[in-house]
Amino acid sequence: MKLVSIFGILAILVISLFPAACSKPSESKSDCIEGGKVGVVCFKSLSSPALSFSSGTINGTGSALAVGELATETSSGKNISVAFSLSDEGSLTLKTYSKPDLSGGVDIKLSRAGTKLELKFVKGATESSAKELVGIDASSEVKLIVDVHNDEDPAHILVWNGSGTFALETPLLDSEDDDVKPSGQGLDKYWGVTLANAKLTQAVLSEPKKED
Amino acid sequence: MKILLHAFLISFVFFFLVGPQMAKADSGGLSTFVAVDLVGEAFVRSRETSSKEAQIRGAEVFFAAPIDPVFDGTLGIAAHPEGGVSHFELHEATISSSKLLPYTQIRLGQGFLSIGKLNRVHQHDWPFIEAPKVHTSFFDSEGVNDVLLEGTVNTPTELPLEFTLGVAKGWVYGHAHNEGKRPLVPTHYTRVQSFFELPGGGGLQFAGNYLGRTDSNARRTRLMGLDITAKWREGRALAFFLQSEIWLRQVKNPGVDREDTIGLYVFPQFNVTENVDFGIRGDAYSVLSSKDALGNKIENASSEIVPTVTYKPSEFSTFRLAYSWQLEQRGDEVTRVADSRLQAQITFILGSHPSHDF
Repeated sequence: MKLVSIFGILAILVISLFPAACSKPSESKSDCIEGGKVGVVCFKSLSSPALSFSSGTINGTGSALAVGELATETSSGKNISVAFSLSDEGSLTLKTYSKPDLSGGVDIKLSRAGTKLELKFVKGATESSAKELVGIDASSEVKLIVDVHNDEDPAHILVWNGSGTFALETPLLDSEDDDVKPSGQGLDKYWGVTLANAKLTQAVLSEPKKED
Repeated sequence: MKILLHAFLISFVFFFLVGPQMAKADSGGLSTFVAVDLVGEAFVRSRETSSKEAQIRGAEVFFAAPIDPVFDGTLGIAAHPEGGVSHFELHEATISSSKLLPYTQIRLGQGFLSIGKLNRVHQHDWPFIEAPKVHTSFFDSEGVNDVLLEGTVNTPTELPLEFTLGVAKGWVYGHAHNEGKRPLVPTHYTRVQSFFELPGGGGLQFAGNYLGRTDSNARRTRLMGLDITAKWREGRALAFFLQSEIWLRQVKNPGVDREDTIGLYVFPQFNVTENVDFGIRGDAYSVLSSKDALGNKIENASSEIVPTVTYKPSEFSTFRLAYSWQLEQRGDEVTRVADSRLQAQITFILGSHPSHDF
């Protein structure tokens, strides 16, 4: 029995050192040579001509891929806080849980019509109906907090107004209770943005605000 | 309103007065119990999550009895909090028999899949408060529950072998808020278990497990795992207890690379005094196939250490206190303590709880 006790303690020690044991520092990506940074997120332009990266923003029309993963696992949840500005008739599409070419994911398209901001989900050639995000003035900088729960089928999306006090229980959209919802799950764990006359000024990843 | 009041009074009289008396009166007949699981947290240090309020994590009502000389039946209903409100859900509703075929137990109905260790045990009976990450990620916060048909064959050999083969409906897997969709390949699973005695009055149960499914989106999931449980008794006391599982999960979505994830936990527990046990759980978890969008491999691992003190005055009540430290490593970033918290748990059972597996 003593032998087993010693085995157990040794196993615990090995496990406690597991992160360090697996830790081989990977190549540093902090320089973000192939693109530009928005906050700490490194983006690479997938468009030609390339999108404009300057002073921590992405500007113009085209697509940009985040170099790091959105999440370690495809079946997971993640929160993305974004701030952006749109020209009239402009749009920003958050492409989440996508392949590295930004296809196959859960796409959240945010379009400006005057001062209104409309949201729809896009999957390939299929688009959901649009929902106006009430209380958002699309003619000035828009801040949104977006939960993407890709461990549910279809993916569960929640969107909150990122300006002012955060109110967990009053999202602008909860796809579980709304007719506007994505048609499925994302296939991979990468993410990015597609801009149409838009400027992305903030992109921050964190754990989901809403627990499931 | 009167109907609700009457229903409450009848339920109260049955569960708290009649049920236990029936269980005492006929131990071979109806077994009835109510299990309550209270948990709470304090001293939370976390980058992401806040402290959970003390809450009733589970309140379960369970019935088990022979239906007739051939069949047995179970019914279990449990309430769990979600979004601040407790929702009742069906945990078990099964009909089973060990008399239809020799050496064979057949089970049909809704229940937890007979795979792994934690997945086969109700939450209030776990030897620790929270499940390790490998269980919550690969199965669910409690376990994979589905409509199933499974058969278990015990071989009449010197080395006892138990083969379980099962198939489940598989419209959903784990946590879901809807009925799901018809899978391309339903959830199917197998478990091969054996047992042998160890020197000093000990015993070791060990098993190999496999689960597979392909969902309606052609996402293919495979789980392969080993679980062991070892016990040494001194008199009636459990002097030493060891429980461990290691699992590999492979997930393949159409048109993308396969995702391989490995996770394990080890939980040795020692008896300190007659009613007090001390255990320490160590977990490890890593996505082996993690890489960035440019194809560069990302080293990643998370682990957790959870020392746990258990006071168990009888098999009907348990008081538990644990402290957990989570450590994370991802790429260049190593967070020595990503999350730490003190956890407390009280469970109690009213009535007659069926005996457990080893």
